[in-house]
Amino acid sequence: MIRHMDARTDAELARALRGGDASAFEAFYDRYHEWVAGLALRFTANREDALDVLQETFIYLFRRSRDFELRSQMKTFLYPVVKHLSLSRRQTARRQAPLDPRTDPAAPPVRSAELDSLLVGLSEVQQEVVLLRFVDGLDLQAISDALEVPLGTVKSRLHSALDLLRGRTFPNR
Amino acid sequence: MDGHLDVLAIDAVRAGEGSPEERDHAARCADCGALLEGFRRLAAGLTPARMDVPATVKRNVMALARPRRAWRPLAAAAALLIGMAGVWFATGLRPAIPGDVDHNGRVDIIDAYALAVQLRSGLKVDPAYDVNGDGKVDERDVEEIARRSVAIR
Amino acid sequence: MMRLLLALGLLSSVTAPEPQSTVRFVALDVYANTGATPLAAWQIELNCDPSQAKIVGVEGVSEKPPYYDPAALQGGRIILANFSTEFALPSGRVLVARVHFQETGSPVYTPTLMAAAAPGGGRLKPTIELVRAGGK
Repeated sequence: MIRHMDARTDAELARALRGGDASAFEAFYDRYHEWVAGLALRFTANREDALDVLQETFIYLFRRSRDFELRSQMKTFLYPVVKHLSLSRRQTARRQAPLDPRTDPAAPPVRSAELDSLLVGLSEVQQEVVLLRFVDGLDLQAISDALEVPLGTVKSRLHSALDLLRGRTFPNR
Repeated sequence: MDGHLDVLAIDAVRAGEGSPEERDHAARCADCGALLEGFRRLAAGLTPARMDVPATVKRNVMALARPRRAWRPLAAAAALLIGMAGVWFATGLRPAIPGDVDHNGRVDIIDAYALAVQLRSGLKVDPAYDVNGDGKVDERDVEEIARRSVAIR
Repeated sequence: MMRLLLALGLLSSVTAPEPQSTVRFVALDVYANTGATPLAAWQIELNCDPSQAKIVGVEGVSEKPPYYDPAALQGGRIILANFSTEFALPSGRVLVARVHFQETGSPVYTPTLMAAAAPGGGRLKPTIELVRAGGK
């Protein structure tokens, strides 16, 4: 089956979503679900929790559909939602026990030793900015919007992080 | 341009945002070029493998968003229970039996589940589902419906 | 000698062991087989002759224990139910509960499906199976 991706921009989808267009909601899901799942996995370090957060994130978007205004990039809107839902989940430390013994065992670790070695020495806020920049591909203004900190703060954090990283050798992949 | 590029500028080149002068400098300068290459490897190293998302997640999410008729929050709630007998919520019918959320003439665990899903989705719920009479529809009403489902007489 | 034998006889009658009790405790695992469809909600009734066995306990097998009426304990009829709005839902042959019985005879246990649903609310008809705990 050939799947035709929705060609509308995010801004057009947002307008359509406000108007009650269900296909716009589906298009947002198709466009961003993998990114949301990966981000949730980064925060929760658990595959099932990440998939629950993915589901809850889009339920949240659905609830907001009537008054949804896309002021920046879609990832900028989604990032704090995913982060909040993921951290809430970690705080309650819920994990459904598998009823079927054939259920998958623990998810693969999010932060491999290699990843940890790449970011060692960086503070949490520096790591967050680096990941948003290098993994999620957000520009600096989008990072500022997502984290709700001034642009200058983002630049400062990224600058200090990159200064720490500049002397390191990174393996060729 | 004097000297070398600032780390933010090199990162901008990496991200495809750098100015033509910055891109040109990175291409000609061995030190800046090496740092640019290092940042590219870092990006590759940080990017995790894609996480497989089962199709059931999309089905669950889209069940909220596919209306039976018009796109209305109440109809979307009805769409969630599509496949169940009887039209209930979309037409605004009130349950004859308190707690009979799906209007099938009896109160069972599916009614508790249906109300729990509606509450979780944040959709506006019918005040008629205030089965415990405390003036609001919340998890306690879900628990009350579940309790009534399993009562032995 | 006779006194000794008499004393021993009295002793043995005082300390003679009690007749062995016919009461036993068993646990039955309740399975619902949905095939490939995830199980989001279920409601099952269990019946047995209360003169042969009584329900003495219910155990959950997930984070959220099943709903049941405490009035069912010590009787022969119980309704169990549960649901989950989580993403990760089981399918196939799903262990949903464990019920503990005190048997005094040779009971026959009868499970009856009352309701079951997939995510989204579509009604299901899983087959229900009772297995002595520890069995397959």
